[in-house]
Amino acid sequence: MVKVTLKSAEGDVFEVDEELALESLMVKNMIEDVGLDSAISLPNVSSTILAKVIEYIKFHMDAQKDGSKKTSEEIKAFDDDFVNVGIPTLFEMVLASNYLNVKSLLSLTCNTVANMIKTKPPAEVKEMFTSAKQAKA
Amino acid sequence: LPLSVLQDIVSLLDLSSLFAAASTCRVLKAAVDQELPFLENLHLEDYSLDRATLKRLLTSSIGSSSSRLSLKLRGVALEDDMVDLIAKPQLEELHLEYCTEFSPGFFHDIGLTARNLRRLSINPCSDTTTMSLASLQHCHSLEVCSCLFFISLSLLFDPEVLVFGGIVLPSLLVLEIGGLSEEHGLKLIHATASPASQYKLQRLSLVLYHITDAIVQCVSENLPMLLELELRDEPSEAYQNDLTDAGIQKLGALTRLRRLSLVRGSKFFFKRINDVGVFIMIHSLQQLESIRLGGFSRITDASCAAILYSCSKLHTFELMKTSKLTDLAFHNLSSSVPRGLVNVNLSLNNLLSDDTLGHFVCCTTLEVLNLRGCRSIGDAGLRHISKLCNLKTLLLDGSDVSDFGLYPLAKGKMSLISLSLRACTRVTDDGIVALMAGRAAKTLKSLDLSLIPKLTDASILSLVQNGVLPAELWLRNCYQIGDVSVMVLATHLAMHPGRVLKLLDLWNCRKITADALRWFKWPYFSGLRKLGV
Repeated sequence: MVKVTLKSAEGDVFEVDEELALESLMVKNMIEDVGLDSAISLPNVSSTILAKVIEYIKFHMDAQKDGSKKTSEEIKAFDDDFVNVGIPTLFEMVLASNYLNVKSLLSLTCNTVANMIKTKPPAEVKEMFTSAKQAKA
Repeated sequence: LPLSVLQDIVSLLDLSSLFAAASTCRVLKAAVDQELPFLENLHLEDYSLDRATLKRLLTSSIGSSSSRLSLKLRGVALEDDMVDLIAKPQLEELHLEYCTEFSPGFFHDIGLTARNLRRLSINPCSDTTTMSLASLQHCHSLEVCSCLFFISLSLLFDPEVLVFGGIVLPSLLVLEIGGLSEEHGLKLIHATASPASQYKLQRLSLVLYHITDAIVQCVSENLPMLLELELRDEPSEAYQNDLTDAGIQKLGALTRLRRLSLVRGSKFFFKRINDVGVFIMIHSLQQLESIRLGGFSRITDASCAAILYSCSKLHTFELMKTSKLTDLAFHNLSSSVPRGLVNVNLSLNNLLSDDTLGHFVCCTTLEVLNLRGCRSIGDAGLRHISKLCNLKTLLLDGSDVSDFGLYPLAKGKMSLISLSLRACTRVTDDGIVALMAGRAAKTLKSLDLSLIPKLTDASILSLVQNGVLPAELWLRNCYQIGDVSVMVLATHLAMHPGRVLKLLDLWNCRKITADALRWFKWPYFSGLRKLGV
């Protein structure tokens, strides 16, 4: 199995299967452009978030493989658990999946944010966005 | 977050969350503004917007919209400045409720510009509106036209205005018109039956002063391809040319009919129709899927049994306000009943008793059961009902049910969505508490407990304790309900932000004092749209 090396913003190196890396359209394009030899650096994604994204893709690839025993309920439970994080982390994941162009993760995280807006009164939504901004700064 | 991502997020929101989001900060507002042209539904009937906001909203949504749009408005003054905003080719559906001050050119502009309009409904319709309806003749793709509540019709039939050319278009599939006299009704049907539209019209719904033989005959002769027919009248006096057996038989000519509704709404009955007319009519209408008959005083059990026996595809069966219907009508139900019966309405049949419901136990597909005003239905009937595991709507207004009937219902396997116990005066807190603790009540979205004099705050408390919180709650005329209930509801809602109470009716709850008003301030009851006091 061919491996791809990904480099996070902090400079940490992640080695993943090529098949997995191709799920990110952005990485796929990079590989097509520069080939597999050098590490692909992702200056916009921190190590913790990159690790989470890889975890997510891995789980879903396993779930889609033939012979997987995972039921749709298990997948949903994983997804729910996956996005059950603090708002700053959630926003970082939205950004990362947008940057890396991982469609399924982007729609999952966007849905989560949309649901938050739906169920919260305006004041809390405002707070949500300002707190995320502060965390970023 | 970058704007492109925010736009992905706001595109997932519904209208009210969009408004809420736009009011939080500039970035979100920008994202929402960009989203507006992509909206497909702009249903504003539940919002009260000031004119400037509404105009801005319409400009940015319809004006620059790229897709088909459905617009619903309520209580808006449609003056000249609004018309320009609304009349756009993107408009596909337009619903106007209680809109006033139509500018004279409104429908003219709509007819000329909104060429893709397919569904139009205007209720109620005033004289000035009527006059300009003629301009609709330009809407070549209009399929549904609905104006059920006319304030005045004098102009509609004025030969000089001749509005029919406007309303009755060849493309029309559904036509709903209200407030017609016999003469007007006949004219309308003849206009509808032009060669171009005669075979296209699928659904005709008329509200008349009197349903007469002439009307029925005219429909059956001119519109043979009709799939749905609804006739309703509310006479204010007895009428000599009332519908007779001979007239109702004529409906047999409409062999393609799937849905038939013949209802008299006022205190009068169809006195000149007996079983023979119904027999002959139903003999040739065996394809019917839905039937609704109301206000027939002389038809008996035999008609009822004949309908159930002949129409094997029936899913909706409604027989309201008959004075002779008894339990015997349903005696052989288990052998003859249509398999897929989903909706049964037997409201206002005083003679029906618990035995009828015993016969209905075999209809496991039943989802809606309306027993409004069946005064002889009691606890034993509820025991039968509790066996219907697919039941979603149960209306027992004014029946003789007491707590002992509610106990088995609470244990039933169904998940009720709508329940009405209005004016079941024998029900007390004990019954409600037991019901709320049971499985059947967990999914309730609409609950009517009006006019139950013994009901106290304990019932409302049990609602909240069991996590049952319908979106609509009626407590009208419950004299024992007091401030505690309001407080309990308010605090519960505040603690569960996902839950919304849209309608709360507390009219004439005499124990509620001015103190309760402070619970209606922000942040309590944040989603409340309608409040009755």
